[in-house]
Amino acid sequence: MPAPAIALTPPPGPAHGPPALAVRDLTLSHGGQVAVRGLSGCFAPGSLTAVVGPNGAGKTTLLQALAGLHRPAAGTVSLSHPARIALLPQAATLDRGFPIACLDVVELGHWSRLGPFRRVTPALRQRSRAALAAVGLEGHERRPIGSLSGGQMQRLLFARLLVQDAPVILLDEPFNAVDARTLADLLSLLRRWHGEGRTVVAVLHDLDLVRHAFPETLLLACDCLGWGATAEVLTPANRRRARMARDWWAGEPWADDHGADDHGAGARWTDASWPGAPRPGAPRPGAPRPDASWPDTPWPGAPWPDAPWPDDRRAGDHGAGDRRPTGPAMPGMPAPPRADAAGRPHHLT
Amino acid sequence: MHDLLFAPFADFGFLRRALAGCLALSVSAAPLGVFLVLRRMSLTADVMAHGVLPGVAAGFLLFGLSVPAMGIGGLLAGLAVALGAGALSRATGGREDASLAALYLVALAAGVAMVSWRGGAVELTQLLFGSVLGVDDQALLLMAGAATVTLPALAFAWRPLVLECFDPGFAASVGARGGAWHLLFLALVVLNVVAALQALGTLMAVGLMMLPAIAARHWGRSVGAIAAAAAGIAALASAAGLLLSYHADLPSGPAVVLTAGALWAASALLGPVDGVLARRRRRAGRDTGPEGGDGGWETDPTPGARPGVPPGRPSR
Repeated sequence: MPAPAIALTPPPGPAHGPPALAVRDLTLSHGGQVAVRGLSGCFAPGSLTAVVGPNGAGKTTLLQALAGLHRPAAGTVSLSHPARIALLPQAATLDRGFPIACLDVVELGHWSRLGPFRRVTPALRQRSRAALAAVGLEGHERRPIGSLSGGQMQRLLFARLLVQDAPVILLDEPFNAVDARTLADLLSLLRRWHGEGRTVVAVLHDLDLVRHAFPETLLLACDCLGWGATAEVLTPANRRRARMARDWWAGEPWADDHGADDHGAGARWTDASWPGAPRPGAPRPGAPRPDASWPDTPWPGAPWPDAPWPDDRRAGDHGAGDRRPTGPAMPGMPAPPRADAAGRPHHLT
Repeated sequence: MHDLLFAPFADFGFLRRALAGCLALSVSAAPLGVFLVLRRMSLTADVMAHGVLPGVAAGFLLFGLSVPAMGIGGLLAGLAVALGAGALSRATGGREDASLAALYLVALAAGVAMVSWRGGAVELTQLLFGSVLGVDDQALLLMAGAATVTLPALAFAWRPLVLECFDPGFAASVGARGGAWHLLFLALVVLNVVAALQALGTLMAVGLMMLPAIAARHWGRSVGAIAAAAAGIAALASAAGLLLSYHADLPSGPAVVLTAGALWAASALLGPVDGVLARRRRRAGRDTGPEGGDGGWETDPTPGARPGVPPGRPSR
């Protein structure tokens, strides 16, 4: 398919040495349908990048290609750390009824060290337990995963990422359908990885979250509409362009089922409070908390706003009560002190 | 009692051979069935069992009722069907289940036609439904040999298979090479189906593989426990089914599979994991209070309730 390649190079980040992940003229397709077209640029080592875009924009496909699971139709993906990429697929792809215990799931993260046959040593097992504790699932070691809530399941998968200990971490919609507390905890893990110099790329739908937590953004709508500092990419003009691209795709009769990603998540994109959004102010399905509780501060230097829910971090407050505490989550309410945003356990590497 | 349960095996050598063969199969085929269920391939096994028939029939046409010839023919045909269905659906862009259904219907019809061409109704019945009389020393060796190969291979591939079943995306991302393990797994399934042919027949060969595996889901919470339970249920079904076949003068395949089906019904009703009664008891317990439950996982999700973890302590 002849297509003009729009190549935007992100600004040189705090980069030193070769980029962790670089793509050049990358074109990805699904059964003849182009999902990503002519993408060029790089994810600098230690960068924390959000990939956003409308449905069918090729975000999941891009992540798959970065992880080496999707063969590019054209162009290249080059890695500075071959085979040291951890990928968190969309949670919906997992069979939650599978008879496996939490600790065993986490230990799958040791695969690169153990392979199919080697024994799990006590030291590795200790690391698995520590990872479970770090995501707040202490005492769940022998639980079958069928007993976990959606948020706990996502915590478990993050524990596996911790154990994988990869320098490049790719997350596909990591915060889908998780409660507010889980979101905050997982986000603090993300920041920890960022602080440790790992390269993190996450596909996200929540633009507010992107603005507050992600220094860099790649705006994708088949073509790359922007790649760089979040504030410069997520401009109203760019977002309009992305929406128009989406509408164009949706208007094509053959593009109905286009793209294998973003199953049914369209509402979140259109409902974002953009200029011209069809239903401004409508509650976003799946959004963990109202927009009002996310003060609009630009990224650089903006601290993560203190969570507006009480910080009763009992180890066991995740189970049946794993849903968002609705009562005190009012905008403008004084935020109780929070211990965990920075005070997460750091003994895991 | 003795006459009912033990005398048939004590008196008749062919029944002892059939029992030994079925027990060997129980130990190897039922755990494979567990993986088939977990991979949502329950019907694929059935397709393979039918798919081996033309190969078996070809062996029968060329060499008569010879176990090695029919076994090798069945192995080749089964592997061809297993690989062909996937390749066909990829090549034509169709759905894999549709290709499988088409393949197995054609295979079954071709097999029956081929056997009928040379053989009579007796051979056809034996091939389709199995016969304890068909379990001669060679067939017994085939069944025992299949189990001998399957168990170490399954132990060898256990971790990759579990990973591939549970999270194929993750398996691919860590380079676990799911394809190779999948092929090994399919080969083991075909081997066990072929081995089961003599005693259980083509139509029933997967009965001893799938029914115990489906029933075992209600008896364990880990893959290992479920596999062990499946082997146990299959062994029980083999012994009871052969007795039923002897006393009621039924073909051995349907008798064994019916017994396994009864055990499945009992498991679904009484099994502690997601059994009908267990669920009902848990629901009743939830209505009356937290103590009334059966300790089910859903009712007690708070590890904070454990002694020794003071609330408010940050988890570190």
